[in-house]
Amino acid sequence: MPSRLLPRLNLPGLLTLVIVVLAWELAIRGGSVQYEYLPAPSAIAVGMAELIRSGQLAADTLHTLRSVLLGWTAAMVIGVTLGLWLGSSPLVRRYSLATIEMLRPMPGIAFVPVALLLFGFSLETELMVIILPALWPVLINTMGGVMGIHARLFEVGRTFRLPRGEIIRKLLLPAALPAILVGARISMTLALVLAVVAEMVGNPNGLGYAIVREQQALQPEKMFADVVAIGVLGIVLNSALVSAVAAFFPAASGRLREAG
Amino acid sequence: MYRRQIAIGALAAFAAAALAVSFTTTAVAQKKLTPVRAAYVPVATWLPAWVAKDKGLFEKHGLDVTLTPTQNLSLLPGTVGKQFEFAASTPPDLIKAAAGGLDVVATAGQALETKHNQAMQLIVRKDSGIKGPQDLKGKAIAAPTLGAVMHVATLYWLKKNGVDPNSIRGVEVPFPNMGDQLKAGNVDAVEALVPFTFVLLAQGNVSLGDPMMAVGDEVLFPFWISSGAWARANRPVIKTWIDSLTEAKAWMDANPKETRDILAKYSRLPPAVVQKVPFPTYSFTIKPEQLGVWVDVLNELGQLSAPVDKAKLVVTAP
Amino acid sequence: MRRLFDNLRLLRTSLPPIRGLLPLVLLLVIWQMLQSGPSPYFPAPDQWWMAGLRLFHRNDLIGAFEATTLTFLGGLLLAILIGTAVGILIGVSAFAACALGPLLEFMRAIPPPATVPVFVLLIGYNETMKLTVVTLSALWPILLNTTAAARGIDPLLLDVARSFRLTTWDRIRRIIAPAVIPALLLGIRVALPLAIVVALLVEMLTSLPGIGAMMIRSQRNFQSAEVYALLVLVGLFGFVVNDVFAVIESIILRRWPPRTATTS
Repeated sequence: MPSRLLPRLNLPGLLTLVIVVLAWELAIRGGSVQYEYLPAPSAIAVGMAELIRSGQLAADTLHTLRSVLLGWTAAMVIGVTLGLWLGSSPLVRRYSLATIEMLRPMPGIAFVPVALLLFGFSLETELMVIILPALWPVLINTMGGVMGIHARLFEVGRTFRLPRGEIIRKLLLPAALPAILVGARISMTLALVLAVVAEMVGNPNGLGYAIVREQQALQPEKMFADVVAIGVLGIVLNSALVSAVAAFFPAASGRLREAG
Repeated sequence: MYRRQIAIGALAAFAAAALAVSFTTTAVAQKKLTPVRAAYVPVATWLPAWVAKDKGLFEKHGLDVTLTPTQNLSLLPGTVGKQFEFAASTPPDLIKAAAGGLDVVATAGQALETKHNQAMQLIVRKDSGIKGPQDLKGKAIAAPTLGAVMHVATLYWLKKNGVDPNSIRGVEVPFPNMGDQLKAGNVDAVEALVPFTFVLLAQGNVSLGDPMMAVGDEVLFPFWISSGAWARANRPVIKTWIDSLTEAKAWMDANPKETRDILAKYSRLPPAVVQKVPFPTYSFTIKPEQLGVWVDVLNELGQLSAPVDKAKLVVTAP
Repeated sequence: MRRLFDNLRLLRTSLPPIRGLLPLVLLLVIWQMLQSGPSPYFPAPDQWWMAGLRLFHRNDLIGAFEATTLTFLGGLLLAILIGTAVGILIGVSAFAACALGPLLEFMRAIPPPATVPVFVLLIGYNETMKLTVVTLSALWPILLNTTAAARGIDPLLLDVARSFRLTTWDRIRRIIAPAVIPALLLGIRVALPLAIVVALLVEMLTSLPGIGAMMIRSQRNFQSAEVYALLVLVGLFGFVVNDVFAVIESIILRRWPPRTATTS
């Protein structure tokens, strides 16, 4: 499953992007779309250059990157642990699955006032808004992964008289890995979205706040430059994750074959 | 059999708790000056505080002030007394917070809306055919925040002119986007504030006037709030806060050019706009009667969930 | 008759048991016991109930609920259609993956709150705008899962199909559908709550009618009991939606069982 949406030197892909950008530029230059709020790509590029020169963009990006990584790591640790637990124990699943299904659709943004009360306008508030929703894809996928291959693996484990900790470490985790990695990827994207939302309402820092700031300062070019920066950050994070998996996955799949 | 699973669960819960605890904030360094933390939104209204900070006027009065920009006023009443000593607010935000059971009070004034200095305008397209409040029945009006001061004033103005406020469709649009939304025909009228009103009027739109005038002349607009407990115990600090802002205002009058530089630095508005922004009518004291007017307005619109005593809304300098 | 019993049993086994609500109920009971007086931020659960009733009697709760539900269902349906089609296309065709990959990656990375102002400008303050934002957010888990599954199809199988001159429909039915459907269902499972959350988020950001707008209004009026009541409603809604989907899923999976993990 090492999906590579971004192979090296992707000419058709670049061409598609160029066409979209050109169409946008022409629509504005030609006058068919005329709004203060919607600047042409060329104007956004100028705004981007200014933000880079002043060092503002680097500072904002760094803050958002740090929040995303912190929140995502926490969501992964909690999600994988709980997912393994739920996946391997029918009893625990029976007594908590409905609770999870109840909590999952609750919007993280609704907890902002409570988070603000507990932590104020701060990184903690941002992390709370990130971790709570980013947890679920990892948890659900890990659980699903463990449940999907569970029965047979346990027989193998029992045949080799492995202790339970070993079964989890050597059998369950590697076997559930493909599913966990899909969850990790969705969760990473979600963490970035949530970080931006949290920065727009709860923590005046980073790229999310930069969007609000530039908007209030009547600088739509810079605002869109921040949006583009978020997109680029998302792509970088995602391809970093995908290549890390590609480097790491063969071993995991090898173990998978041994176990199966 | 299940003991291990429970142990794993406990471990997970512990990991979660440990993560939450490890992100604690660093303590603020203590100095001889009284530390004061204040929150504002980056618009020109809060200029005297920026001037007082930039020119060292707070320090002169014995305050060590940290100013934090935030995104939206409406969440600030929940943060005073914990993260901030002073926070920017408006009458409906404070009154509704008090009605909801929060211990918040007004501690210092900031600006008034007067007949001669109007910050707000209700603006429509020139070709819309909307000439006055009666034409707005059933229309879509863009407000920066529904339920906040400008929308409350607009609804009250409509009601006073015989238009049912419930017939209005309110949508939230940030000030900078109002022009485009009006142009695109997505809304029929916008509740705009200076300097955005200039841009809108320069684009050929027309103003229906300032709905705030329906509430009264010299009506309380933005001001500072604090937690009730803190305010009652720190009246002298509130006095130095008001004194600092008053001195900042005097300095602004004496140094108009440098004042604009400070405005540019904190608001980050483009230079052309910075030169044109008019200053509101500043007034740093505050009285319960000023909030009483707004309590009546909110009652008339049926927006208060519990009765509010205006006398308990203000704790200010002795 | 036997079939009916089978289906009933399936229904029972595919639903998470109600006793799974135990931790949540315990939490609420403890909350109720700890919180005696009124509180502006942590009101006791019995006050949520009262607040919920008040909202219901004010008559706008049903309308708001309807608006949010329609947006959610419409957005999800569109996301499933688009996500499956594009996902299979990218999964099967290397060229399509190259050409669309970067653009899709970029779109995926842009958070909905940042796109709302642009869509509002281009589409206006209406249902179509809400639908667009929800669709674009719920799309990615479906697209990702479908792509991965379609890519996992052995090219040999497709070659064989071609040499046997199977029609396009047969190829979809016999080769693509069995490979993609289990993954598609997993994607929808993740997209379900996401679609609900984003529908609420859009309503919160624009105050277009819906549960999200109600939530932000209650929040700004410092009526925290109402906020909790609405949160519970959203939770219940998500719970029911999830259960309904679980039943649909188990029926579909009986027809197209997932292949073992070793094939990936």
